[in-house]
Amino acid sequence: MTEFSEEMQLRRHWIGILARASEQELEAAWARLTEKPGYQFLRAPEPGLAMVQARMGGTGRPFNLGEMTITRCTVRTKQGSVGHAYVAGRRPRHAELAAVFDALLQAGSCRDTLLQTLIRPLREQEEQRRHALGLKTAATKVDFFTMVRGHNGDQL
Amino acid sequence: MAISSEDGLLPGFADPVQESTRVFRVLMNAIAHPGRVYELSALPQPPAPFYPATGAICLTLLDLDTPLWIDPSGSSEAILAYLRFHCGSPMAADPGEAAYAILGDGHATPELSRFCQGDPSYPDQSATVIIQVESLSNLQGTRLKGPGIESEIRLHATGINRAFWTELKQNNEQFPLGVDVLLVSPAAICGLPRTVEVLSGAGERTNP
Amino acid sequence: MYVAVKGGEKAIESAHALLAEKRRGDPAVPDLSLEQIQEQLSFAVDRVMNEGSIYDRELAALAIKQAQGDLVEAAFLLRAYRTTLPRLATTEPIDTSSMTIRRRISATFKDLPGGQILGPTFDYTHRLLDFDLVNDSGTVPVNHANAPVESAMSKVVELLDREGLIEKEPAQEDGSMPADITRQPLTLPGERDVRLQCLARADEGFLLALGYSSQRGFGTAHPFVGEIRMGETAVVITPQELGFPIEIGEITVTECEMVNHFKGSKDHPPQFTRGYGLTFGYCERKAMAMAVVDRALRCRELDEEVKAPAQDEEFVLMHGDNVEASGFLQHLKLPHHVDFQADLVMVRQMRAETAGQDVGADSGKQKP
Repeated sequence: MTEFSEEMQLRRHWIGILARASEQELEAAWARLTEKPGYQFLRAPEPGLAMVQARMGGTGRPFNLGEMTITRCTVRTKQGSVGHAYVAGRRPRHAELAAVFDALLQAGSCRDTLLQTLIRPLREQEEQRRHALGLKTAATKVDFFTMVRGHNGDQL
Repeated sequence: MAISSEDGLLPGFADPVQESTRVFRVLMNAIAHPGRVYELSALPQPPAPFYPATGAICLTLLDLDTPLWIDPSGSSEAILAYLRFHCGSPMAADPGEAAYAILGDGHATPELSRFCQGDPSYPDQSATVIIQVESLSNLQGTRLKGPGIESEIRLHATGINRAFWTELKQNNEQFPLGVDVLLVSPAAICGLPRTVEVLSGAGERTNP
Repeated sequence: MYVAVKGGEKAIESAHALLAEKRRGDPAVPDLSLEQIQEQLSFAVDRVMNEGSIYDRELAALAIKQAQGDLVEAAFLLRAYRTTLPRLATTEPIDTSSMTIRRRISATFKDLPGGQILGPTFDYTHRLLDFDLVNDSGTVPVNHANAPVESAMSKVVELLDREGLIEKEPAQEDGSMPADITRQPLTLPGERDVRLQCLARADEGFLLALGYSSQRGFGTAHPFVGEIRMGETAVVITPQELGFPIEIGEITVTECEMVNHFKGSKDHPPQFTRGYGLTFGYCERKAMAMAVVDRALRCRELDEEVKAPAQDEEFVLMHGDNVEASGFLQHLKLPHHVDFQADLVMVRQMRAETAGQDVGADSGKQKP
């Protein structure tokens, strides 16, 4: 298991958040930015495929399950920070915004602000959605009861 | 859209679809008309020691599925970063595992036999070897004939190893097995598939 | 042999126009939106993603709209579209044990850690056609529990594994990449990675029938559903330019672990054996069928006699792809005029010869 530095852990964290966010959320965050950086494409948003692998029996040797669409983008801001994005689906604008935010989050000055105003709220929204879904799912959990009091359920 | 090369990430094609299609068409013609020198202009500049034409071939032909091997004279940290970013092709540990091989300096012995020669069921799975030379000309040089060549063509390459034409002859004798060769000068390419018959020896200058 | 025929361009153009008119149907009826298909025909979308072999709900919805609901035709459209997209990455193997569970059941154990979670299932509906759906059902009220489901529920096979009761999945030894039948042609015999990739793309109806035949006595004995889970899993790739793994999003998958009768040998004590099914989206029937057929096809590695179609690797793997099957079947519509002409001539000739012999026999009789 590779050890990741704290810096890398943080970057992986925000990259994941930006990828899982909706395009609308990122667009809204971009609109809210008072100082929008200039940037150029090192790679304009490019749609493509990723072959999804799975494991036999869930834990064994890998096999190729099938492909999924993804979009990637790389930008360089005027300040020279390079941002990358790989997102699921055919989402050129999403990939572009995620790459720009990745570039800004790496640069010293904006990082803390963006972590507070963008990443943390996105993570909280994600958690809320997960929680809400979890409550609906849990309502379908079977609550077995038996007629005989004191029965402990099946022996496993 | 001038982009500085400070961080080693030089841009690839400005318009990947149009430009890779253009380059692919030139490559296709080069293989279809062996020995003919094709000029390739308006190309992005890759890191040294790659020529623009070499870079363009990589941007057009390489991807996740094409293992690449580069000899020491053709390689550099900047090149590896460039190819990693733009092409994503795996780097072959062994010349024999490569789908494409790049020899940065044509002066070195090509050793074409070290690359994958294909197999009788799938001869097309052999390697394509790209060799950087100093210049290419059809005005004089080695006489070639074969499919795609109307009677004969002459090809003169400077900055190429003395043994190259002998090796190419030996390679082509293995048809349908054997590698295909692309000779690349700073802004031109020339295709030498294994169908080519080499009529005269290395470096011969015969009157046109 | 096919005959080249010319002409017919006008007829074809007209046919396409008629097809488009048929697709649109009555103009007074609102046009079908992709969102409607994705939201309200999600099982069709899931099936097309599996058989078209691309996970992209919008593309699948578009294919379904264009194919006018013909799902095999829609899968064909997706397969064709695949060829226009470059492959940019291979993902890390997905981790179904950390799935965000939306459904999770087991037929082997009643009370299991995490519980039996039904999720949105057809299983307990009475299959009575619901005429309330003729009109817009509006917002549907849903129940909420007080606490969400547990995250990270352990797998049922792990419970069996603690006592060594179930065969282990061999782990990766050499780090080699699995086979990819979209890159290298299928060759038989196929290893399990090839078989599972083929089964994942195979026609659901075909796998269903094979699974059924297996249960009815052709092949492996009664399998048990060890676990079915459906939900979202994270997708992770390691881009070369970054050099570290990143999450790019989530996909919904359905996983089925079948537990099959135990088998022992002189070297190994009896253990339960496994079958594995995994599909994009919520394709439970297919995941189950895939697991049954996976187990049947493992007969070679488990030293079982091949007695049944579901165990016949060539039969299963060569005929499961409905795009291929449809192509070959429908090619019969291509002009075969010359072939048929040859047959026609031969049949007439044979009939004439037979008639001639009869005449000869009669005339023989008539001879004084």
